[in-house]
Amino acid sequence: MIVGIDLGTTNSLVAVWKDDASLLVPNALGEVLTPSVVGLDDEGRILVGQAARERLHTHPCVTTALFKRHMGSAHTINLGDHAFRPEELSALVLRSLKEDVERAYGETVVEAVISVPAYFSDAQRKATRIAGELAGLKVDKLINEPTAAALAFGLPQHGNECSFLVFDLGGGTFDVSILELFEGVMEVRASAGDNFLGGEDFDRLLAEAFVRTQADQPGFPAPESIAYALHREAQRLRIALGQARSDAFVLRVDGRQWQQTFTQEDMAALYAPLLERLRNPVERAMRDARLLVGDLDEILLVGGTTRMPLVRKLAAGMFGRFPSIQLNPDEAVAHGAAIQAALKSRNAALEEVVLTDVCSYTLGIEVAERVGRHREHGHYLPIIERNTTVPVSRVKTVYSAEAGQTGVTVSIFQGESRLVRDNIPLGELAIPLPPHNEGNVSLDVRFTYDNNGILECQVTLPSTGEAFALVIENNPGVLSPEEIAERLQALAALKIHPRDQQVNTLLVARLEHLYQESLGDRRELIGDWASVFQRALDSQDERLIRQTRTELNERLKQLERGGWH
Amino acid sequence: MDATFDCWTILDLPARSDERSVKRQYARLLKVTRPDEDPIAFQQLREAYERALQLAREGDDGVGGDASFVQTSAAPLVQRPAPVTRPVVRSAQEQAAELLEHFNDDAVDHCWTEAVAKGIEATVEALLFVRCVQAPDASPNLLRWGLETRQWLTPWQQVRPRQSDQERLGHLLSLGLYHRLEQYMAAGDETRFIDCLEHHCRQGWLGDLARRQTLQVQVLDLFFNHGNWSPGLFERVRQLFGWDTESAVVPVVDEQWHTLLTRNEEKKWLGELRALARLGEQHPAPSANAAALFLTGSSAERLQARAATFTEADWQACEQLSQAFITRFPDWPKRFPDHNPWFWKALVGHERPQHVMKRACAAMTITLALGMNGLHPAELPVMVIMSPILILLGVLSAYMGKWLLEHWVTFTEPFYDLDQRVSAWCARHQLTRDRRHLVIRNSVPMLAVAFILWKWLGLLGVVTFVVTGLIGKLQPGRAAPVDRQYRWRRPLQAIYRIAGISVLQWLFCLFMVGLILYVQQNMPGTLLTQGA
Repeated sequence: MIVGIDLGTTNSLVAVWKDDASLLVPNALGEVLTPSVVGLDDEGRILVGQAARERLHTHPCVTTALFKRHMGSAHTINLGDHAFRPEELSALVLRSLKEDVERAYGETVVEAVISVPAYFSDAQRKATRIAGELAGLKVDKLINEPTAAALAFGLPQHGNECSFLVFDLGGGTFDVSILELFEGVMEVRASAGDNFLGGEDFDRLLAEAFVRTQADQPGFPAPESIAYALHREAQRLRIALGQARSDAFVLRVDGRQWQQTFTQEDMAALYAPLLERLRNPVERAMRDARLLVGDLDEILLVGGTTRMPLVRKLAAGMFGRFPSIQLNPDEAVAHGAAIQAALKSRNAALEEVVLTDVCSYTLGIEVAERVGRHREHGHYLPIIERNTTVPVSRVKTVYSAEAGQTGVTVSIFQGESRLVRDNIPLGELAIPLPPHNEGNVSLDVRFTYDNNGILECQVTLPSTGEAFALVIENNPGVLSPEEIAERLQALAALKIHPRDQQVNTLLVARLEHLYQESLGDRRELIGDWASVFQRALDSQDERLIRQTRTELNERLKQLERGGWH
Repeated sequence: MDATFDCWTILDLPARSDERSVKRQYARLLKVTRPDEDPIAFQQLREAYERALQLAREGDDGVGGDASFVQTSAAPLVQRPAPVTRPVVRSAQEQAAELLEHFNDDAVDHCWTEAVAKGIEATVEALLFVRCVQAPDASPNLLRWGLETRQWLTPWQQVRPRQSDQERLGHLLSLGLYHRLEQYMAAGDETRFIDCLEHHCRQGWLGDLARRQTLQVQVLDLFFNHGNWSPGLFERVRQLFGWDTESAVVPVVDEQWHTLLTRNEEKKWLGELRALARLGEQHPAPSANAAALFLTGSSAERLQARAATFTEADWQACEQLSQAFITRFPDWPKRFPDHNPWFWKALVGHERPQHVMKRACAAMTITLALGMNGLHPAELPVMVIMSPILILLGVLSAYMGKWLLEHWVTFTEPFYDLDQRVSAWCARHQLTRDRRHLVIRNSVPMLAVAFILWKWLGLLGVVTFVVTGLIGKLQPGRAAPVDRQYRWRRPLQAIYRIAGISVLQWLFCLFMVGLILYVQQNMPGTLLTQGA
């Protein structure tokens, strides 16, 4: 069976297409959102999801989050003694999602459609596919997140002709896509985005502002050591300030407490530069799609961060109307991915819909240009312009510069700048030229960009008929097949935290976390609860454990309702 | 795309079908030609579709159907008919009219409080809005109040005026803002320009995508049409609107943007040069001197005056600066004197190679004498008697040298550029003291003399010439005054000083003459005194 997966920066979801509808699959804890957090438990086994997230605070050295931001780079993350690549951590999350589906439906999952930000680069897309492979999933198809959300929105609009804009602000990435729906064709007109702009950046800004106000307080801990506590509180406050006029940033560390009140106005001023950055991709997408604001029928907000009133306000101000609230911003992408999975397996109910997407970047090569009498290197020759509908294949002919030149290096870049030094290098291809040429040897450079955003480059010499295809080498962000095999073995050797114990682990982690954060009597109370639960666990009596767990969860809920912060 | 490409055949449609049928047909074919199954066929279909769509749209409205976003949004608004107020409840309308009869722009808040107290705020706000639409300049405070407190022209505004009124006010506001910005720009008042821009950008009505686009185009136009802005201002505006090359979010065509960028770079670079030149007034340095020279302008006297004190290091700095101008700003040289980035080369004053020639001639006199002597070793006394004639001959040849020299300078004119380059190279590698010494012009005559000496007097002759020259470096001789009287009053001294060589050089020469004579007498025919 094919599943649709939304592999997010903060949360991941999995959905399947069943009985002509997409359904989200709950995880071992019964929730549909699985935090994209990976950690090691006390026995060195891999722990994924909610329990790992609770342990981010108490065990920062063996827990990690936000690894999606490093996808496609050579960055490694240490958990205990192991060094993990972001692909591997993503693979662990994917594996846990896969298992959830297998448990729920008793079918083996072999294939997945994974969503990626529209503005993900070639290397980042490859890394995502490798993550799927490492998790034992075949990933033929990647879908752009805003496109997936649009599918989830557009599918019920039978026969309507409409244009709409998807404004997708997630935990770590921002994407804008403009789509047109007509006659069962869902066409992406333009995409733009920012890969390093999301809810996490808003939280970081708020935490930094708090640290600035507290920095001269005696005994205030180094911000690095309490990074997670800061981040978590910033997130809570950001969400709280969506409703309340003002609220306090409260930081409790080792029985001490610091606090600072923030108002909605403070937030607006603080976030202004980030909000301003949301404008550019929108402007660019509108320009590329050659549409006016009036031509849009609907504005869709997707991604958890769009729940922020400030973001909604910005979007409303930009488009002069209030955005649609038809979609659940957290779940739309996963639904869309499941629809795409169903489309792929040619589900009868969906036969009518065809989706076409675009490539979000301009792709091209480096060339030398004649300026006056001399030649200037480092110019960019676009071959596939951004926002061209894919799959697409384009050829441009270039010429060698000097007589007797023995070879040409075709360097491939992605980006919009006129000079290659400002664009992202993707790889290069060395082409030997026929000996004793008189210069001006023509080379046909063909770029083929497929449905999944993967680029192939082919260079042919019409004079000899020789052809060269690109194998991107020396790219530190992408694993080679041998490395993948190696990593796969290493991952197989890792022990996974038993699924049925996850509920217990989560409770232990929560109690531990609360204990560290609380003061006085409450701290003692939570300490008591923790030891009660530990005793129950030690007894290994399944019934006793379940009973204690239910009771403690109930009490924790009461405690939280009483406003434990 | 080749010439035979016919989108209508591929789409299987009659030529010039309308947009709707093109879309429908494309959708139908797409279900058969799926992009993931047959990419090549899809691509062909896609190209045909795009082409047909373009043709269909052109057919629709006669002009280029895909008028760009920017153009459309920046198009001037059509004049609307005068707005009419909407019918509202009679009594509220009357009260509001009464309240606004003596409306004072400075007391907007007061007026509003009263309106709220009477419960007619909706009517009053609608009237105020219309008042602004009719004459936005008449009541600036009211306008500001409306835009900032009442969120006019945003989705949050409370009053719901007619669409045309909204558009009209938006247009008038844009226009007003543009004129104000233009005034500031023309007056060079950058602080007020950026303050005004930043203040307005915070207002809700400019949050609208289309209005903001229009504003951006206007601001870019201002930058494009005015030349006197500073790079600092450009940077701040760039930051404000998030214009950057990498993500290509500039609402104008590429060339225009690049022209602006280059202009900004030039200004920045020029600003740096100015700062450098100013700094050079307190702490002179070669780069500062060079910068000052480049900024002097085209007045020849001032350039000369500045260049008079230049040393080799300064000229080298000039060279680097010229190179930088040529590679970074190829358009710049137009603004230099004679449109030449190497204009400063003409300012390098070159030594006149006078002494060299005279010295060479004096040497030739002696050589002549010795050479003759070499021919007739036994007739020394005769030679002594003849010496005045020989000296006379020497003076004569000195004048001949001077004459030759003038022609030599004219003769070397075509090699002047090459000579300059060689001299600059020698100066850079410290082979000569500085570039004012022209290597080819000065050394060729010297080499000629050296060659003659070698021919007539052999090795010892060359040694005499070279070592005399070297001694000259240690103790430079002084030339005789040009004054004619001096020559008659002190003829001997004049002769001694005519060659411009020092006492030490004379003494050495005499010693060598003796040596050569001795060698000629005792060992005739060797390489020492006989050139090969």
